[in-house]
Amino acid sequence: MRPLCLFACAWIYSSLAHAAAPAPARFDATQRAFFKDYCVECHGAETQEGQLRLDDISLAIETVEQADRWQKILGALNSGEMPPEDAKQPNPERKTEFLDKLSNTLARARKIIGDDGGRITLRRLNQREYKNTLRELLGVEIDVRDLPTDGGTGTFDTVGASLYMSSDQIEQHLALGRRALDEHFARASTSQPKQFRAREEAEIEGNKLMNGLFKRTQEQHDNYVRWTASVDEAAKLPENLVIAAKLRKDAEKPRPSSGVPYATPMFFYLDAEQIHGAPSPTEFGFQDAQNAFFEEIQYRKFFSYYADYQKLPGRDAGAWLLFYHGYRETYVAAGEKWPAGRYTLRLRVAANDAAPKERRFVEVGQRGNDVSDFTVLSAHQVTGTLEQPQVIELSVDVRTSGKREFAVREKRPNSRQAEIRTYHDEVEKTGHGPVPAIWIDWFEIEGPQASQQPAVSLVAASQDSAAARGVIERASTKPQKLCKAREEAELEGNRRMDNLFKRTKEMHDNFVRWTTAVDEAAKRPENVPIAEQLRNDAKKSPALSANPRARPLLFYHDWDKIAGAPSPMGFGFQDSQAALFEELRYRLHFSYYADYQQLPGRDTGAWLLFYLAYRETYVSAGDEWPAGRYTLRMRVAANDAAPPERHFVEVGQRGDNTSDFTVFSAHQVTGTLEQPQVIELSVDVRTGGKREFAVREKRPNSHKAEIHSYVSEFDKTGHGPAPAIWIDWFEIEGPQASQQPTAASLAPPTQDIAGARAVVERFATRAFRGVTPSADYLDRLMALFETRRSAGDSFDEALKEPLSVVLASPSFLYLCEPSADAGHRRLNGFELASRLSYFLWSGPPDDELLALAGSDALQSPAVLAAQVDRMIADDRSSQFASGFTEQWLGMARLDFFQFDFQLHRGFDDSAKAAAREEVYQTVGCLLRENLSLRRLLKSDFVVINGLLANYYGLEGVHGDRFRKVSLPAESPRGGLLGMAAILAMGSNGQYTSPVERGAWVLRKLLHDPPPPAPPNVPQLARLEGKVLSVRERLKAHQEEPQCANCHRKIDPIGFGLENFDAAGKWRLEDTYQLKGGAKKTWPVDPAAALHKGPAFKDYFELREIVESKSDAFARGFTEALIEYALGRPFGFTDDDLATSIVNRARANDFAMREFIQALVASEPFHSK
Amino acid sequence: MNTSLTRRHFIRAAGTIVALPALESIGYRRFVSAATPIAPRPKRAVFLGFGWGVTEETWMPDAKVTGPDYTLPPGLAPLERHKADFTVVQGLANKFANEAHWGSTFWLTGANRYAEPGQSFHNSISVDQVVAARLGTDTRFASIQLSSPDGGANGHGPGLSLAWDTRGKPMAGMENPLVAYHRLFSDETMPLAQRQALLAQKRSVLDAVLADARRVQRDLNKTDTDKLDEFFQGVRDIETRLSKDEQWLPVPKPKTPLTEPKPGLAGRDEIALMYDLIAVALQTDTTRIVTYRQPVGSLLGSLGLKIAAHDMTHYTTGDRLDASQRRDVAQSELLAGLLDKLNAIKEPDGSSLLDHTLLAYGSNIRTVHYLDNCPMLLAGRGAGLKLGQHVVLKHDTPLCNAWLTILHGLGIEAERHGDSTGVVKELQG
Repeated sequence: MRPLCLFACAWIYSSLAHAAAPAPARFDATQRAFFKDYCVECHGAETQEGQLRLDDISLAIETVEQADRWQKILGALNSGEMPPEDAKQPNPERKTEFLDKLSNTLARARKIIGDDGGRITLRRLNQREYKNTLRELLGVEIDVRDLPTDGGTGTFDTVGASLYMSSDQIEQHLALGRRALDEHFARASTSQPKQFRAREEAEIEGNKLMNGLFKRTQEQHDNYVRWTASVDEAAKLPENLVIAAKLRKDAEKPRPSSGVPYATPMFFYLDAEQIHGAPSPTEFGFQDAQNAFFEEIQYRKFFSYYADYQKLPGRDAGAWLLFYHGYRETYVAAGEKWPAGRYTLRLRVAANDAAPKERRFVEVGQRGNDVSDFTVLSAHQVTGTLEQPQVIELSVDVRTSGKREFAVREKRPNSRQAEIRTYHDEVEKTGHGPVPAIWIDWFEIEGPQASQQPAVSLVAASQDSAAARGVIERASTKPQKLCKAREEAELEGNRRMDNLFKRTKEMHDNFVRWTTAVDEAAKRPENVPIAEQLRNDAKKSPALSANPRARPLLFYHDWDKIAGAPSPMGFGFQDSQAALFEELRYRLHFSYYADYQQLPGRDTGAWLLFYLAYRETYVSAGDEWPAGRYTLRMRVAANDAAPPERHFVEVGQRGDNTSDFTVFSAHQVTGTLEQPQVIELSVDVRTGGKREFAVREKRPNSHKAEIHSYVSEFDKTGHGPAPAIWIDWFEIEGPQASQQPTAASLAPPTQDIAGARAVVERFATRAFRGVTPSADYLDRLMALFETRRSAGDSFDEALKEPLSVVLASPSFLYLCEPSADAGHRRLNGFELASRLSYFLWSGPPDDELLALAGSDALQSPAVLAAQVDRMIADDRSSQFASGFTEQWLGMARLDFFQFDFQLHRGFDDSAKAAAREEVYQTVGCLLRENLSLRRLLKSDFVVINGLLANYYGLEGVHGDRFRKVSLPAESPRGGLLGMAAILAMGSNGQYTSPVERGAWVLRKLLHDPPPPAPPNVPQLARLEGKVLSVRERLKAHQEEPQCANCHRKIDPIGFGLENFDAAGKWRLEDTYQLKGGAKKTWPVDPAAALHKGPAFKDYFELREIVESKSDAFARGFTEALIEYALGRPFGFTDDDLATSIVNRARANDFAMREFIQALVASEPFHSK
Repeated sequence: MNTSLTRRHFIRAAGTIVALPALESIGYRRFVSAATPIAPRPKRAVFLGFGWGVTEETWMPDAKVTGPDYTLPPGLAPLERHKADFTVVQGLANKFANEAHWGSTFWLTGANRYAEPGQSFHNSISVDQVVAARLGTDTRFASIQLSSPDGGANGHGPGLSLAWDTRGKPMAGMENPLVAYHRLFSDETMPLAQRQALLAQKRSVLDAVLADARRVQRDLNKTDTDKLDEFFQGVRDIETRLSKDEQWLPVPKPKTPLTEPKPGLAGRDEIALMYDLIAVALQTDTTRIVTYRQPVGSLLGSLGLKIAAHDMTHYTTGDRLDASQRRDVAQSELLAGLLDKLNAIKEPDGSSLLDHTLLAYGSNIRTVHYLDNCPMLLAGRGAGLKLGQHVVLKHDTPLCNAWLTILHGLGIEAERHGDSTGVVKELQG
């Protein structure tokens, strides 16, 4: 009985002296009765079929062999192989009970036999820890995905026995360490704050905007003229004379717009449809007569204004700021992260000689929320001319809070009414709008300015408190950091969209001309039969037939069979296939492009589209820029008319395929066109990595999904989805000054061998977490250095060689706690510091911990407890919140499948990432605020950001920061059971899986894990092909004892969560549709009862029941915590430890930190 | 344990010419001179594991019709043109297999997860590594492990590839076809002398690392010593590889008929590309042993099937069954393509590569959660198996008996593998 002995020999912790070996897993006597009734006849003393005897089988499972035998018995029963069909069968209830006991006892036996007796195995750093450790040591962020995945045997990634090391890994560690050092040295060499900046700019310069307006107005006018001419033609027909006369008379009657002198004759055409044979305005590119009327008014009002603008000089280098309509203001903004301080605004301008003197002024100020809300900071006379423009410079304050955007415009009254009146007065007088007075080349902001005076005297300069605050902010500004940005108007997007619009339209016109000509030819008598035949063929042709819009076009495909029909090549098409294709494009996309032309805000920015064409904006760090942390910044606005779930952008990098886009972060867009918002984030530019960054509207990572969204919207409304995101500009700037002091300085005291050795030794000691490297080892490292030196490497370059070896050495890669075989010893200070920091930070101990370790103070309970509090308060504890929680709750499953975008459009990658983050942030919040663990079962608050608030339908939460938000009393959110990530894991991306959810609740919340899914259980075939509700489907589980013994516990819990759909949204109905077949919808019925437990009528009651079992929950959490912290599977040896931790925490209402403090204070945490 | 540390007396300082002991190897000779008499063609072995099981109703041939005259069911229909090149075997099972979602962890090993008291996971050497130890000595790579990410989601279970080393530790697999391509075929641009210097330097690096390892080793208890032994073993493996690199240093990597693949391939295209790489790796004698742990989830995605791989295996009439069957067919089409390639590649003696290759294709899971009657298709004449057959063995014949049969067929007279009880006579030609 070797295993028993093993437990007897298990180390006995001093404080847990009563910890005894667990009782072996054992069946009770009822099992024997079952055997007697159904098995012994064949497997008894006499027959012993299959060499198996069950009459005297030991009921205790203590060895691997015994467990294997019982596994076989369980397997035979599960597969239905035993008892044989012709033998006596147990009734279902009895069989269910028997299987229940058998599988659970066996699972327990496996755990006991596999128990490692509290041994903590030497372990290497896992991927997360390795990455964090490099960051702390060298201040660089390294992509460690090249390393093989850790774990995979169902344990935490801190469990030493499951962390392997192979030759591949050693080589990867050498390579990655080297990469980290390269990066570190590259950054160190650019610590001088040389600034780089780039901005996505497709020049708009107002001119392009104005050109567009000019062209469009002209085109619409031409269309209008052609249309009205045709109407007039029709009106002349004899049958129309009466009605035409009446309509002309009606047009004299007063209507809205009557005030406009030229409008009256145009009213006639508003009723053109009453004239027989008059063409529809839609044939001329108008939506309807009203629209045609409106366009023509626009033309008459503004065309001369636009036309005049076309003739202005200086438009190659700058733009004219207009007084009334069009390009009125230019903006520039200080980045959100720029330090507060005094900045320089600069603009290069000129005045128009022809403009009256009083108009040759500009105003610099800040825009408010309304059109007429503009705070003027200063006004400046413009004396420069186009030949010799002038640069105006002024200083402005940028404060920590407050607007950071500045505008320049022609000086004017702060009243929209006044502007309109001025414009019309001028038009009335001269037939033209006011001449533009101000020309602008560029507008920039730079700073902060270095403080010229000592802070003391500056404070005295102003008595006003706001100014004083500004001064203090300024005083703390490090003067050397220079940020620079320049506003230049952009338009890559608009240019592309304009081109598409134009091209599609042209192609369509060509197509119409061509097909008209073909139709003409087809009408000739000799062509009638063949034309008829071709028309019939077109109806049958399978080509393109999936697209209903294509069918009528197919006739033209065979134009060459019609004598005298012109070739499409004469109309700009390669062949008829291309012509059809272009026309299809027109029919599907033209309205989309045309709509784009109508969008506001195109003078200063562009709209990012969801589907076609201008979908992403890019910015790129220059190839020569040093690696480091850079700031990405964009100025964006959201379209109010778009649904709130589309008010998000994603920043990331493009891969090689259309659907290959790596999302770094998603951001809620709260800015509006009137008041756009600047979003700022930091990204790493790596030596070898991609340097281009992209921003786009948040979306599923699937081109199919995009197409589908477009087509379904188009089919419904005749338009594509309205653009949701407007972008002014997108820029990258940096590198940021390194904020993170790295743990070990790599600056050598002297540039010689001794200096190198000093650096290597210091670095190795730090990398080894307080352990001094051996002399032999250092000698070998130095030999490497010298080889590289003599091979011609520079000092720094040669130094990287031994340093990268340090990062692949066992003392670095493993958490070493040497101990002789015999038994236990207490950890020394450094070992304890490492165990603590890898537990709470997944990273190495910092200076403070190492200092305490060095002075042997860390072992003092009070010091240790204080350190735990400090470490939890530190940002690095988020590594625990995410690293532990992800594994504890089994959240890897969230990535097992793609969510069906048609069923769950809102749950795209960004929403999924935010949902995942909610779980971590909630755990982090409970820890920091030392709230009860029970808040994970039920809570009156959630920890969410704007994106999730939108997803949950909670009002008033904006922005990307996660924060505590109170819930209304009736909210189903609050606690893990209401979190989208948890619910989504209990699905397959399409439909909910009550089984996954129920099993998860048993495993993670109720600490009553069902045994692993048994092999060889017969599939239920009875339900094939039927459309059934989830509940009906799962009822079948209760019929077979092999299924029922687990599913009777699992399924009811899953039913109680059915009000959440597969992506965690609340619902009242559920539907299921067979592919192309029957569909069923049924109201969700969440009522059920726990197995041998209370009944609940809905989700809320289920949540109450689960919350009432917080003791079980706390126990499960504690066991996971022990496994994670000690780096070995939780075993029966740890029962007493777990009990004592739970008891201490319970005394404090399960306050989160109590668990951690109790564990850290325990003897096992201090022992090896 | 680290006794092999004396191995490098022949290393010289950077730039010196080092001895090239393996110039006589068969592999090298093929590069030096086509006029050299043709040696007996080497044997190769390929193991393809697809994780989740198959649609048994439409993949498994009718058990009543055995021998050569059986009908290929729809799931295997795309292989019709190769019917004479493979044998389908039914009745095999790993008796210790008990994890309903682990289709690959023990597929090639036959180990009992619970065999070691005091541990919750145990595995043993996989059959490909047994083969590699014997047949992998003359090539640049002793064996190649190909894999795909998300082993768990793809029904493979724990492990980093199909391969487990002599101590039962998981061996890393290359998950990205592009990485594999460069590893196998990318030309070295560095001058020879410089590469030799680099090798010498790598050895000095290993010396330094070992110096630290020996210090750590002091005062470790038994378990920790075993754990650290992985590190020593890793270093030894690198040394072996370096020695091999040294032998192969003057030998350029083979010219491959493949062009550099596009990045970002997934599913069907990814498998097809890996299959191409396998064929070329064998053709160029870059290696003779390959395992490939294939993706399932991304295959479904690339077929336009919106269903999680696990759910597909629990098929019922409708979407799931349809998905499961289409996946079977897609896999068979891909396999047929690989067999086409191996058949088309001619050896110097005029025979085809398929004549010298053993290819095993299957999973430890049959279908749903069934772990008995594992799907198994054996192709190629490399192990002298009887092909063109449908063989139905006694239910629960140890899967390892098939592996042992293959070992013998490849000329490796092992006594047993895993829990084998003997060879499968029905398979021997």
